Amino acid sequence: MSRVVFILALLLLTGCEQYQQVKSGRNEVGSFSVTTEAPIWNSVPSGHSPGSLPTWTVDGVTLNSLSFVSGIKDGSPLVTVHDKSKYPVFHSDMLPNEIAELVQSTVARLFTATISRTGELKPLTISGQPGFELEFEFVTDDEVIRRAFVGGTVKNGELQVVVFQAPRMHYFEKDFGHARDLIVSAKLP
Amino acid sequence: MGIGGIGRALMLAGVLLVLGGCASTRDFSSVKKLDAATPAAATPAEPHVLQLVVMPPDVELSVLTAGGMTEPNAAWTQTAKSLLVDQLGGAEALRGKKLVRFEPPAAADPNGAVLNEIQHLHRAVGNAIVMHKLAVPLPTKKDRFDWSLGQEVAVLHDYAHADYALFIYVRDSYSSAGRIFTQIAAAALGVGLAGGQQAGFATLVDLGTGNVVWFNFLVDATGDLRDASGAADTVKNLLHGMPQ
Amino acid sequence: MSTWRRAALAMLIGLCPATAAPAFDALSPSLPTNYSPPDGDTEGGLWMASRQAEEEIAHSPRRIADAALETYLRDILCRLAPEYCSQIRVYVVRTPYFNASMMPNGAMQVWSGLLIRMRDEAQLAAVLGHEIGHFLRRHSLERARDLETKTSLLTLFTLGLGGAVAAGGVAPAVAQGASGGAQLAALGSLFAFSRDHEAQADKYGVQLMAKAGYDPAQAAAVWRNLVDEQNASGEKQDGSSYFFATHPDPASRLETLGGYARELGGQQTIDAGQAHARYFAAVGAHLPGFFADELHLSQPGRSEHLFKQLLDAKFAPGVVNYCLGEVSRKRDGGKLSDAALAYYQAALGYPDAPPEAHRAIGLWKLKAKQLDEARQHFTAYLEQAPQAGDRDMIDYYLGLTEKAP
Repeated sequence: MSRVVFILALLLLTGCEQYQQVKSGRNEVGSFSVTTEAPIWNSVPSGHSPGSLPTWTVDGVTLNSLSFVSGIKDGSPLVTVHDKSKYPVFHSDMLPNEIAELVQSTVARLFTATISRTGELKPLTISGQPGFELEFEFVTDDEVIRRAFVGGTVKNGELQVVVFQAPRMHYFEKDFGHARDLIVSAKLP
Repeated sequence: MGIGGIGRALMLAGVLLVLGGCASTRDFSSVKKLDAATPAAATPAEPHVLQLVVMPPDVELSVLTAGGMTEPNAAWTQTAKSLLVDQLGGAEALRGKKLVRFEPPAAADPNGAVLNEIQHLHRAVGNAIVMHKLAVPLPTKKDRFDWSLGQEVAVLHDYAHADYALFIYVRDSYSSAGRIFTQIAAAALGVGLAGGQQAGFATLVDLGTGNVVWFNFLVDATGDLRDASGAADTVKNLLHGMPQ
Repeated sequence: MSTWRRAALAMLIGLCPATAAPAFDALSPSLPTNYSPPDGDTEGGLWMASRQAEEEIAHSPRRIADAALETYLRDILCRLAPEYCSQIRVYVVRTPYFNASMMPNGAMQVWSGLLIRMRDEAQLAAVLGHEIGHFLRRHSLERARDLETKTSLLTLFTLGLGGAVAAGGVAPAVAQGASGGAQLAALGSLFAFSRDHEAQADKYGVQLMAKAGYDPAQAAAVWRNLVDEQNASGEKQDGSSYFFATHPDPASRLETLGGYARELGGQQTIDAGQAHARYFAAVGAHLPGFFADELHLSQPGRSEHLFKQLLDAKFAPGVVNYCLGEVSRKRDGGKLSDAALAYYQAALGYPDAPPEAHRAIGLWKLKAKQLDEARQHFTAYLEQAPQAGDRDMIDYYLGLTEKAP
């Protein structure tokens, strides 16, 4: 019977929640204020977004997503999920290396993925704050190799991170420029 | 729910929302007519015969066991794959085109990984199309059909020497328990569902650009891939509306 | 152990065969050697499906294409079933859960999560022997025939539906196993087995390993380890191990396996020390990556138990100490973990200490504002890992150690 309930729940989600086009110009997403000129992004209803994070997509969440992780307080996981205890948590004394690993572990859990390559971790200034940028690859349970670009910082003890991810083949490069511009120019209050 | 999970779950949503009659299809295309990716050798006297590589069908036939588990059935799946490929050879929609069967690369082939990656990406793209063209639309793509597998298909173009690639994805399962379950689910939704369905899609990809030029989604209440005539019907439905 | 002493031991064993164990009713293969089924029948279909699944595994992004490691595993399989050696192929797949499976055509996949849970080669032989048991008894074929009979009258159903249902909880072990590799697991489940088959494969596995000269008691030890790890995790049985999900209850299994071992007695002819060295040589280079996957699972209880066991087994102590440091750091998150620092420093005492141990100490010392020490360790990290992807970030930290008063 629970199967029937599951299907009905899915239908309700699908039926009621709609994707919305993201307007050009300045947009407030979580704590972030971001600017986009490209009319390519759709905001994903929370029922469809991984970890219930505010998320945008160009071609559908199986193909690309830009997720905004904002205002994460000491002791909290990065995502809103029912099995919270299985997710690693943020601590406000974390250095960028530790945050980079936290993000990767969260992605590994959320997408049931194996981290296949950890690329560069570099300093990046976000909204005038010292932060970091990270690139890595992971293999999801559908055997697709995906690449992620992450930009983030800790402000007033709270973690603020944006994650862009897409299949390494075609989709990552296609919109990486837009995503990166948006991330590096993001503003925080 | 993982990325793949969302795709599959929404495939279901698509299935349940779209289905009406026994065999229904919906197709989308970005071109009216197929052209050769490499028309260099074509002359008016000797027109280029379109070459189309048939990718190994991504097919799974399962049994819904008494405990409610779907258990993929290897023998049926294998039969279905062979039957599909055989039936594609004689399909009306593909007449006048030269079909090339995709031969899996040798284990040592340096392109093997890329060719595999293309096939996995197709599954993700197919799921996105089903989700956003049939279930929940993306506002930015309301009047557009512009999904792609990207320039990396050049590897497939060179490997198979073809202008287009045809991908087939079908999921089928067979079970009396499943039938009861479907009927319960359908009744709860007020949808009349007799028997069960076969769900799948066919994708045609331009190997010059990587673009998905045509996509057809199929739901069939009577499809059966376990014998030749069933496979012939499925192929006919899957290729319904393919541009020439 | 020197040769003469082994010879003496063998004589001793030979002289004292009179332990009153019940007779072991040995199994024999139902698969002919160098066999290949005709196309068209059920078994032919299974083999064709196997070949396709094998191709997919061979080109999977998760495959670890290390010929030496594959040869090492294949050698064990060939020791267990020498007559079938030419029919066997092994693929190692990077997925951090305990699993191995063999397809009807002799292609076997071994997951990385299994390789880090074996204490020695005999334990590995026990698991591989179990899988060969399925193969030699053609369990896939029996299963397929069984299903054919059961489903001859069944009706049609969509798998789009079935698949989504599976994701929603019908097949929690596979769909919600909180692991990567669902696709590969699905390939494995193409050839699922019944409980009777599992029991028979257990017995066959012990028989094969004993005959090959491994200590048959290690089969039960594998299960004891898994049960201990499960208990240490403090989690309920949640299907996070594919093996647990598809196999009989571990506790009763332990007992049965121990019984077989006693019946068969121990004629251990494989030198345990050499076997351990061989195992380590084959898998050692991959351990940092496999351990990193384990750490990403964020299961501190389980990981800590595993790494402590590996430490006891003197398995890559530098890397293992570093990993224990990482587990402790995360567990004590929010404060400077003395336990973590102690493990990192212990790691540096071994020749296989990873450069990351220096980085970890550097980060610890930077937070503790012990800037000179932080600088020393960051510098050592960059010297040992000049190609590190986080080089720019480490340079930034080095800058912080300079600037501060």
